[in-house]
Formats: sequence, C-alpha cells, structure tokens
Amino acid sequence: MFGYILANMEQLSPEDRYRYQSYYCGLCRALGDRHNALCRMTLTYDMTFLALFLSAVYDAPEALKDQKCRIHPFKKQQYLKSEILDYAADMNVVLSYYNMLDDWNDDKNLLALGEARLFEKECKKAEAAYPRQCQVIQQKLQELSKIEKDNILIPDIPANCFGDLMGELFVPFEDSLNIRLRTFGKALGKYIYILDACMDLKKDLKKQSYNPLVICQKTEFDDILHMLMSDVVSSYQALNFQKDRAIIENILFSGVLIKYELYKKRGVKKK
Amino acid sequence: MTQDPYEVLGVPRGASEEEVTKAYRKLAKKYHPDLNPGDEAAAKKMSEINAAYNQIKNGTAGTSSYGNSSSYGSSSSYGGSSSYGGRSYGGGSYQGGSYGSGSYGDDPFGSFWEAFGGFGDWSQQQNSNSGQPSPFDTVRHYIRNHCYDEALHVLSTISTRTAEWYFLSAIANYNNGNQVTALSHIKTAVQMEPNNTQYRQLLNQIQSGGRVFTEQSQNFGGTFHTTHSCCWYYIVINLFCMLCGGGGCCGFRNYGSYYNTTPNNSYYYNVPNNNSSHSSVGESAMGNPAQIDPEEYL
Repeated sequence: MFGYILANMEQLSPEDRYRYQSYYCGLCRALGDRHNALCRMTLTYDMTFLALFLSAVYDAPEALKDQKCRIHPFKKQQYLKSEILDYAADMNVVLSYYNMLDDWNDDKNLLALGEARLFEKECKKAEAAYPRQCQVIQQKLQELSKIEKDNILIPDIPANCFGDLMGELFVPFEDSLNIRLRTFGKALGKYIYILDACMDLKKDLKKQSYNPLVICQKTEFDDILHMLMSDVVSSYQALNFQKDRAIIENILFSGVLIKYELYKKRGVKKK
Repeated sequence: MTQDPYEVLGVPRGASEEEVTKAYRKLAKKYHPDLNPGDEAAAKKMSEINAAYNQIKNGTAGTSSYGNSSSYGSSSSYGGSSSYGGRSYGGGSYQGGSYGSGSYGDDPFGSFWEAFGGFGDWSQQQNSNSGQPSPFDTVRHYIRNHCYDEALHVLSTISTRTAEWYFLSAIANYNNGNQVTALSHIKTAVQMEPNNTQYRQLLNQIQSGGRVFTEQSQNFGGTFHTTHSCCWYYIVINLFCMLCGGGGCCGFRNYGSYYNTTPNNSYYYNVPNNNSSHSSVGESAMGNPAQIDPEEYL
C-alpha cells in the first residue's frame, strides 16, 4: 500500500528536483538518526510527501545541510532537517511496523514477523510520543482486517477506513488547521487504498484473496481514480498555502498517477 | 428466472459464511471480466454470481426477490451493474454495525422498523397499499432531510432495483462519503434509462470533478517514466554498516534522547490563519468533498 505518492521528476524544474531530493534525503537521515540504520530501509515516498506537504502548510523552519553520508560516500548530498521531517520519520517507522505485523497476521509470513520484531522497540518509542496517531492507526488497521475477513465488497467502506488512518497522520498538531488537514489526508488515503486495489485486482482474483473492487472491472478504474483525486485536489486548494506549490502540484496532478499508468502500460504490453 | 443464489454459487443451503465467500472467490477467478476480456457470457455469469453473493450476504436469500433484480439480468455489460447496493454502506449493517454509524442489526425488519410501525413491509415491494407512501417517497424524504444512513437503509430493504433505486442510492451514497459506490450506481441508472435527463445530469455532476482533474493532469503532460531509482544499495550498505559493529567505525550515534524534542504543538510554527477568510463559507471551504444538493434533484 506504499510508494504511490511520488513526484514526476521529469516535469520538475532542476531546483525543485533538488529540493524534493533533499526532503527524501532528509527523511532518510531522520530515520537513521532518530531510529537506526535498519529503519532507513522503510523509507517511503509517501512519507516524503507527508513531510514536504506539512512543511509547506506550516512553513516550518528548516535547515539545509550538506554532508556526505554512508549511502552516498563520494558525493556531498544536500538534505533538510526539521521537526516535521522528524515527525514524518517517526510515522514512517510506525506505519512500517504495523504493516509488517499485519502481513504476519494475514499470511503468517515469518519474514514479516522477523522484520516487525526488529522495529518493535523503535515503534514503542514513537507510540509513546504520538499516542493519538498510533491509536487511530491500530484501530483502523484492525477494522480493515475485519472488513477483509468479512469480504465486504463495497469499496468505499475499507477505503474510508484507510482514509481515516491517513487523515490522522496529516494532523501533527491539534490546531486550527486540523479539520482541513484531516480532510486532505483522508481523501488522499482513500485514493491510495482504491489505487492499490485497482492494481492488485488481477492478482487477487487469481489468488482468490480479498479485493474490494472485485465487483468492478478495469474499464471503470480511470473514472473512479480521477474522481477521488479531484476530492484530494479540492481539499488541497482549501488549505490555501504557497510554499513548494510546484512540487506538491506535480505530485498531486501527475506523480500520483505514475505507478498506475506504468501498470496499465505493462498490462497492454503483456497481451 | 428464479434462481436459488446458493445454487448459483454451488454451495449447499446453510453453508457457512466462509464457505460461501470461498465459493464466490473461486467463481470470480473463473468468470471475472478482467480475466476473460471480451467474453460476454462470462460477464453475465459474473453478474449473476455477484447478485447471488450479495443476496446471501444480505440475508435476503430466503425471500423470493431474486428474479426481480432486473439490473443483472438485463444489462449485458458487466461494468455498470456492480450493484452491491445492499443494506450496508453507511447504514452500518455489517454484522453488528461496526463499520458505519448506525446499528440496525442484522434483521432488515428489526428495531429500526418497529419504530416506524406501519411501514413494516416495504421490504417486499412497492406500495400495493395506496394509503401508504411508496418507499421511494420515504427515501426522498430522508435524503431531503440529509438523513443518508436512514435513506440507505430503506433502500436496502427494497429488493427490486429499478433505475430510480440506483439514482436515489447514488445521491445518498455520494453525500454519505461513498463516492465510488455513488459513481457506479448512477452509471447503472443511466444505463437502465438512458433517456432520463435527471439521471444524466447527476452522472455529469458526479463526474465533473474527475473530468477537471483529468484535464489538469494532462496539462502536466509528460510521459510517465520511472525515474525513481530505488535505493536498494542503501539497504545493502546499511546492512554492512550494521554488521561492522554499531557505534564504531561508521560513527553510529545514539539518539535515544531525541524524543524529548518531539514537537508537541505548533507554537513555533507559523500557522497560516486563513480561517477568517473562510469563516463565512460552507463546508466546501474546509475541503470536504462537494455535496449533491438534494433539492436540485428531488
């Protein structure tokens, strides 16, 4: 369910590309610094977007640093450092942990359990720091697994559930922006969930596993996805901020479709 | 064509929910249109399977309503008629009502209906009793009063799914935050009655946002290439770094105390206070998805 919210790099100006990269590196660094090197493995574009988006909304103070790292040992890499990035790093760890735990519960995938154990300690730290978010994540994931178990075939039900989860992540602080941020996060989460279901439909049908879109077919997907993204865009516009708009709009209008368009192309090629 | 839904799914009557779901998935693998492109017969079969499964899940399998559900039988294209309209969404009727807000329980004639006494038997069909309002009137009434859970619940008890049913279901679902279902249902309504301008108008409205998005997205242009090189080598290097002994050569630092600096409030941040400019505007200014104004349609 991760990795769909990325930028369409080709359409970004060189400066913006650099800036996006520095968020990505910043998040990776924050993961390494606040947690451990292993946590860097869990780095996702979605949480990079979370950091980028919230930093822009709050116009958060940030420091641009310039350092070699183990990953890029020969080239100095610019990265950003801010409290929002730290927050996104923590959320990244929490989500990865629950996701792995979920895999374990669903498929009894031992590898997933092993991975989850590795992150348990880090996750507990984050749980103590963000009880509200973590509680919602846990509760919504539980609901989702019950929906899957009951084979509920109304796509909105699990999608709204996952939307609630994402909505909570987009609210780092309870302040005057929380309603609008939650609405935005919820709409985006709903899109992510349905997109994931679209791309997994064929596989799930073959494996005879749960997919909420089993009553639909792929010719309907474009309409559904674009409708859901239009809700995301209108809640983005309601937030009304200026910073990093070019990158954010690149992601919202183009980047979020990349994986799906690639999937469609691949599907055509296969035939 | 009165078919026993259990027969359609090939399970014995009284099969457990798990068995039914298993049978359904097996059949879906065999007949789903995405796995059988261009096969009309498979698509039709899949519609029947969906309807049967829906019926069993909704607990309406015992009633004789299956033959009436014209939506599956008549529409040859599978697409529009993905009609899990059941007494389900929003209304919170999934076994104990844990998904939605309501708690009407499992029995469609349960406590909810007791409260409405006399209306008790719409479940079967339209009003044969001219003294009572038709169930669609009641649905309209609920929608007009923004009681979407209730509207959906009444809809779920109507077993004959006419174009009007899909139309009303689309409005109630849309305003209840079930956009995907709403889109599917209004498409079905238009498919069943292509000449109804009201249905087309609603379809148009529901799709308008998506159309604007499609345009904006095309304006961004560009072919979609995967320019993101996944940082697999990050992982490998990291693992090596871990193996070579934590705090030593790679300068591992212990940031255990970082949590003390967790940002707990937005005090330091410049919270854009554009509340004032929005204060007099309705919900949509808060970014909530637009709502359909029932007055426009009912």
